[in-house]
Amino acid sequence: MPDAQIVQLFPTMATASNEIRSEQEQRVGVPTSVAEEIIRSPGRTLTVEELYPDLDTNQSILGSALVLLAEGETKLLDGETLARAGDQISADDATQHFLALLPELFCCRSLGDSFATVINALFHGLKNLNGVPVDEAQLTQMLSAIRVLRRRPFLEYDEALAVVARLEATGLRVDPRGLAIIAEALLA
Amino acid sequence: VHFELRYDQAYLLWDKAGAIWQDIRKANPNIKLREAGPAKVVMTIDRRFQLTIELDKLNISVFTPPSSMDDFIDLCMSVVRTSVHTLEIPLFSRVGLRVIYRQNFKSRAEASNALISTKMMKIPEGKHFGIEGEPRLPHYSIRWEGDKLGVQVIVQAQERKIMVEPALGETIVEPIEKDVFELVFDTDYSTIGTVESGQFRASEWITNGMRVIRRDSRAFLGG
Repeated sequence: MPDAQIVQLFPTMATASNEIRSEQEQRVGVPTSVAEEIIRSPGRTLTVEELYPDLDTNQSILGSALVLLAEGETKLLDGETLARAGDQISADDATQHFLALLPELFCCRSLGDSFATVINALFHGLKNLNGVPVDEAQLTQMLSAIRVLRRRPFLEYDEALAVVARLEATGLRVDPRGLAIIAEALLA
Repeated sequence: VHFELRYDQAYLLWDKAGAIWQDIRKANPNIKLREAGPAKVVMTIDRRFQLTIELDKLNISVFTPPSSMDDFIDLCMSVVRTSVHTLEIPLFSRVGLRVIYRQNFKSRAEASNALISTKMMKIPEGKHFGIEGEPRLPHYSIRWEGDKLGVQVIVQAQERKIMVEPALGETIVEPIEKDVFELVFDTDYSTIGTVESGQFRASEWITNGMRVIRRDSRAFLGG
């Protein structure tokens, strides 16, 4: 009869617990590094809300930002639906409600330069319209930008610049108005 | 406290390990090399922090943590930012936070009885397996899993022997031999699904994880 073998049914892993110890130290009894976990095939990607399930919206900037982003997404979604239905006035009203959220979202800029860049671009993009209602394509891109921030609030700067470029492609002028005046003066 | 990120093998480590560690050293001049190989580098800072970067995982540990975790969180944020950016890691297969608490006791029996007295385990009395003895070094382990996050909790009594022997002929330093009996409460809180790097910030994960662990550990430790 062959020797009995210990068969490991599942590969296991745990957060490592290497410790600074003298080489001479020995352990007796049950070791501590036994926390094990069955490796799963890569599951679906978590949402930010799932990754940080107990965020305190009063104390956490990320928590506040996620609440505001969710509200902003709802406003833009309403605006997009209304614009598609041909109700430009109500669509513009929804956009103005969205605009009112942007200064608060700007206060969450400590989440990163990328986050601040996109929020800035949205704010100035809307302000620079000077009262002209946003068109459907612009609404769609703004909605897309907010969804990117909701999904990846800590996005890389290159990705943020790509989001801004897509906003600009719809005709939105995303730079502060003062910057254009300075640029014109310099060119003159 | 151990913080860990796992990812698909990052081959750029073979090209850019030096750049990553140089960057970390700029912010932490006291960093000391402990182990270096093509697939794994281990460094320590002030005998308090241990940093390990491997082809498929990154681990940062703090030992004897103070009441504030701020310096650990700052270190994790800067190391993660540098490593993820340099190694171009788009996705984490697992994010983990492991917190280990220890309480020392005078003897093996005392440490064992501390866990047995919680009545977390059903331990029969009397003679068993033909042994007239006492239950020693009990170990309790349980795992909770949702479809996004999981946690493994281990409570155990254990014994460690610390032996430090100076070099032969060294008379200034006395050898050390010490038995340590302790009760260990070990929680390993981690993700189950994957996480995009753009979703992740170490400070949020650690702060949130520590709060969850402290809050829900009461169920085991009884307040």
